[in-house]
Amino acid sequence: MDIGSENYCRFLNGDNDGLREIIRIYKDGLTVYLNGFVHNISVAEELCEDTFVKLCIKKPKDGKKGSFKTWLYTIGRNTAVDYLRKNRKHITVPVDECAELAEPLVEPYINIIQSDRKQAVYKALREIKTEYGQVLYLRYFENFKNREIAVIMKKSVHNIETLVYRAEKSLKKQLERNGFVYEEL
Amino acid sequence: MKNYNEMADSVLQRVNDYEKNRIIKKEKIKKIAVPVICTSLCVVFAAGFYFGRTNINKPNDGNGVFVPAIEIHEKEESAASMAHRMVVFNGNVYTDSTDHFQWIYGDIEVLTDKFLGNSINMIDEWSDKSFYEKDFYSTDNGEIYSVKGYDTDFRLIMKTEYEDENGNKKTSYSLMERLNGISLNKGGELFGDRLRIKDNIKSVKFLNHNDWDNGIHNYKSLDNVSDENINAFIDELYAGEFEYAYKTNPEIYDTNAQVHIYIELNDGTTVTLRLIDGGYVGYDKMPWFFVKIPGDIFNIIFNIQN
Repeated sequence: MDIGSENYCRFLNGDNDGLREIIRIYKDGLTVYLNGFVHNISVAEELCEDTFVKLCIKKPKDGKKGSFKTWLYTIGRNTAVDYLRKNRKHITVPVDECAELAEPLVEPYINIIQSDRKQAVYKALREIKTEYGQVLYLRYFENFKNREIAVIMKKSVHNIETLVYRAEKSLKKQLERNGFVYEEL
Repeated sequence: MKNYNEMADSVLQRVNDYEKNRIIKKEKIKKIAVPVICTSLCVVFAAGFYFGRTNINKPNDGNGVFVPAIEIHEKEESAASMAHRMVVFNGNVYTDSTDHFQWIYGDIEVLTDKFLGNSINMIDEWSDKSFYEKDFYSTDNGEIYSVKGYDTDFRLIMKTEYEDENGNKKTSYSLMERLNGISLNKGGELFGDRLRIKDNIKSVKFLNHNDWDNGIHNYKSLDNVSDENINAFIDELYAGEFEYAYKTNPEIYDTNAQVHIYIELNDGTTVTLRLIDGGYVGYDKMPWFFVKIPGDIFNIIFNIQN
C-alpha cells in the first residue's frame, strides 16, 4: 500500500489528519496538472479542492488498492473535463497568445517547475496541443508510467505510447521555435 | 492561493455542510413525502386502472440533427485543442475512434482490407484550414486501408509505426471514423447503416459509471438480460430519433445516473454506448447527440448496474 492509500485508510477510519496529509502531498502537483486543462491557476486550485471534496463525500473504497496517486489524478481529470463541458465557451483565443494570457504560475505552484530547463519545457507544453501537454506533464513532471497515464486519460496503453511519441515530436518542434535545443533539455 | 492547511479546512467545512444539508433534506422528505406518496399512489392506481398502462418516456419527435464538419479556426480555445489523430480522405476528416476496450478485446489488424494510400504528417497545431482539405494529409505518416465490411465513407484503418518508452519499434492500427459533416435523423442511420449492430452481436458488457469515472475497467457481462430484450433495445435504438442534447438538455452529463455499454460485434469491432437516465442513448464517439428510447425497454438495460 502506498503512502496515499495509507493516509486515505486513516481518513476512512475517521482520522481527518489522513486527509490533511493527502492534501499536503498531492495538492500542488494536482493543481498544476489541472492548470493544463483550464489555463487559469485560480480555477485549477478550485478544481483541485473539488476533487478532494468528491473524495470525502463519495468515500469510494478503490483508493485503498493500487496506486492512490493514479486514482486521484483520474478523479481530478474527470472534474476538469466536467468543468470545461459546463463552461463550454465559444470565445476563442489565438493559440500563440494562450501562454501569455493565462495566469502565470505563482507560489507555491511555481516550485513544481524549479529549474530554467523545466520552465522552458513547461512553457512549451502549454503551447502545444492540450492532450500532448497533459500526457508529457504526467510522464516527465509527475513520473507516471504509461500504464498509469492510460488509466487517468481513459485510453489504452497502446494509445498512450503513440500519444507520447507524437507529443515528444511536437514538443521538440515547439522548443526549437522558442529558441531551445531539445537534446540539451 | 491557499496553502495545504487552508485547503484542508475548506474541504472539511464543505463536507460538513454537505452532510448537514443531506440530513435536513432527509427529514423534510420524510415529513412531506410520505403523505404525498400515499395520496399519489391512490390517484395513480386509480388512473392507471381507468386509462390502462401509459408510456411516459416517448421518443423525441424532432426532425434529426446535423453533426457539423470539423471546423478548423486559426483561433482555438484550449478545450477544443485536443490532439485527435486525423486523416483527410475524399475531402472529409476522419478521426481516431479506437478506445481502451477496443484495444483490449478487439483486433483491428484483421479488418484491414484494400490499401488506399499513404498518409502524410502535414497537420499539426499550426496548420491552417487548407491543410484539412488535401487528401491523405494527416497528423501521422502511415498507410490508409479500407475496412472489411464497412463503407469508406464512414470507416478507414490507419497503420502507423512508432517507438515505445523503451525505444522498441511498434506498429499500431487505428479505426478512423467520419462522424462530422453528416445528417442523422433515425438511430438506424448511425447504429445500423454505419455501425452494423443488428444481427451482428457477439456479446454485450457494461461498466457502471463509478468504475468508468475512476478508470477501473471492471467490465461485466449482461448475463441476466435475454437476447430478446437486447434485440428489442436495438430495435428501439434504430427507430428512435436523434436530438442534440446540448440544446435540448444541457445538464444531461451532470448526473451520475449513467451506464456504459460495450457491444462486441462478430467482426471484432466494438460499439460503445453511454446510457443516461431518462432514456438517452448515445454513441460514445459523438458527445451531445442522443437517441431517446421508451422507458420500459431502456430500463431493462439501464438497471443492469443495480
